[in-house]
Amino acid sequence: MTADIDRLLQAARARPATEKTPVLLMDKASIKARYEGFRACFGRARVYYAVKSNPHPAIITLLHGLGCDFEVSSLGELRRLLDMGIAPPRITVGNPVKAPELVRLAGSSGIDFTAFDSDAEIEKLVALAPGTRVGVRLNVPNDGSEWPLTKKFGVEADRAVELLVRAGQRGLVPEGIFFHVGSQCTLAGTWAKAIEKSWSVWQRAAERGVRLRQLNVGGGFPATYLRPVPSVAEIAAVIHQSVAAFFPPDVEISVSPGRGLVAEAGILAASVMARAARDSEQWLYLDVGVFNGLMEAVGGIKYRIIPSRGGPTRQWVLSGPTCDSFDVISNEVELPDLEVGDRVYFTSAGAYTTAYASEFDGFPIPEIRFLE
Amino acid sequence: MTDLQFQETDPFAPIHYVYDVEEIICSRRTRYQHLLVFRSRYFGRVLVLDGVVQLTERDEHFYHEMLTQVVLHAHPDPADVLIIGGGDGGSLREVLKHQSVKRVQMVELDRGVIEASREFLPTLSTGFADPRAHVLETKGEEFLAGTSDRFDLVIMDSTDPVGPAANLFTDECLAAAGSVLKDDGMFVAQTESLHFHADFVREVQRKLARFFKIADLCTVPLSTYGGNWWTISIGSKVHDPREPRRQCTVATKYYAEDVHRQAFLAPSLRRKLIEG
Repeated sequence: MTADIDRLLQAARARPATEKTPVLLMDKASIKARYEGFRACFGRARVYYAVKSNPHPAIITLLHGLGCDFEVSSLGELRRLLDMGIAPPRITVGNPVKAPELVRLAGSSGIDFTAFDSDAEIEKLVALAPGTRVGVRLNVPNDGSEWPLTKKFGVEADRAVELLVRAGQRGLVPEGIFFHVGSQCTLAGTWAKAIEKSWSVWQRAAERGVRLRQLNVGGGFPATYLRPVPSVAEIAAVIHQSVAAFFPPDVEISVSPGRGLVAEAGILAASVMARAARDSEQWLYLDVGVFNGLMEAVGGIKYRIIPSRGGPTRQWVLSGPTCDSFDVISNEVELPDLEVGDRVYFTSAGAYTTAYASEFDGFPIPEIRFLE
Repeated sequence: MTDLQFQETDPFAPIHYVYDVEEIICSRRTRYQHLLVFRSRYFGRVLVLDGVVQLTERDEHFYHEMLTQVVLHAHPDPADVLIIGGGDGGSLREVLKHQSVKRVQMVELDRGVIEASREFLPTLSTGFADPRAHVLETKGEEFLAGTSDRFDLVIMDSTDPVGPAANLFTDECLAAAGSVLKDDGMFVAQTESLHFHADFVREVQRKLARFFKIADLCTVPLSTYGGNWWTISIGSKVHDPREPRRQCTVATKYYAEDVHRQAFLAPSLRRKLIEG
């Protein structure tokens, strides 16, 4: 566990026992430190915060004040940022498939740059936001990603080149390439492969008369859960090395971290709601589960789970509070003999927790509170 | 009160104000339009073009200061300024208050307006005698298309853009305004009332977003223009117009740094406006 997560855990444990759970405790100093880490590692590159990972207004305000830019995917996110007074040039739309209303608002408010990966999206942009600057979403290997994003978005190199050419013919401004190595990517080398693949598209586009300027190397920057992961600095070094090996020096690099910026800044505090023995299994029911905050537990993220009391451990089935049998956080977790009312802490819970959550079955979404 | 009254015949506003008239000072035809100057008890001298009030001595500073001083203060060092229209001289007077300004090119189609202002509106027309001011008598769109000069600010001080000045807001004209600006230049224009002409303001904002990195608008309350909640649209290549970059050291009656900051449309209102 990193020193910073340990510090947050101490702060979470020091909260009054009367505090209502589930609650997501976020630390602004930690977000600031992470942002400054990205800033230092990526020099002049633009850092876009992927708002989807945690769209809390206080986090947006904090990052805005630090000079961070923003990546949005939906009309709702864009409206939120515009209503907060964030200037459109500081926003990009990273989603290659956009609702028509989003395209219209992005175009008419002056958003700089957006992703696309289909002919239909080109026509939508031509009709609703002519002259938009665009980048093609390139499919790249997702090796080492614990939450892969292949298939849903992105095209192969041949098709990417064709789409860039076509975008230019239709009056858009083809300007770059977006890729994503998959969320929580734990292999820095995956970025190197993606950059090399991007370079082939870049060159072939140039041969067809399309001069690109921007390369968005996506998010994917991992947070520490159970296992150690490469640091932002290590990944940045690989990115810089690969870019320098292929690209001209004036290429404009941007990154779009979400998890990498805010996950480690959050501790999710929950309470034991019930316990039961079923056949040979011991079940522990928490007031937070996969529907109201821990959706990623079913998709591959293994959280570090810290109990509030010590003692000899045994294996539990850790369950959420709802009546749905899908609502199981883990089938095999080692925890001490916990009682109803005891606290349990999930570390690195600042991203894709409350953002995903629903109030299914009447169980509330954890409130976000900031540690001072 | 005298019995004599003047009622506007503005075809572009759904409301027409009536002024008492103490004295008709000048009523003549210029080469392009009918020009009237009269004196009203409350408003002082009033300039009317083709039946539409252009300014009154009482409240013109609200309009002229906000049209010019917002961009003058949002720009770090404005030296070369282009004014399109503005024959009454009010905008020129404001721009010339700044020592940083080395040259102002005014492009006014109707010399008759300038002549009448110099004759009858002395508080407006002080700038014409300044050696930094240069006046050209031609159409704004023609000047923009032909000039090789480059400016820090382009100020569009036109008559009603939903009426006679519509040509100044075409794609071609806005693109040309962008191209006569230096790399960090700013464009500003008066763009009618949010109450009566929100559709027009929306259209201008959308166009500006295409031609400039930043499109935005501030508003100024005017007592004499129908609709009153007046918009000033800004296109900027680099500088955020919401942010004053220089201290206000010139004499103003309404404009001030805090007025600058609060004059911009609230972000959620602007978003709703452009969403339509």
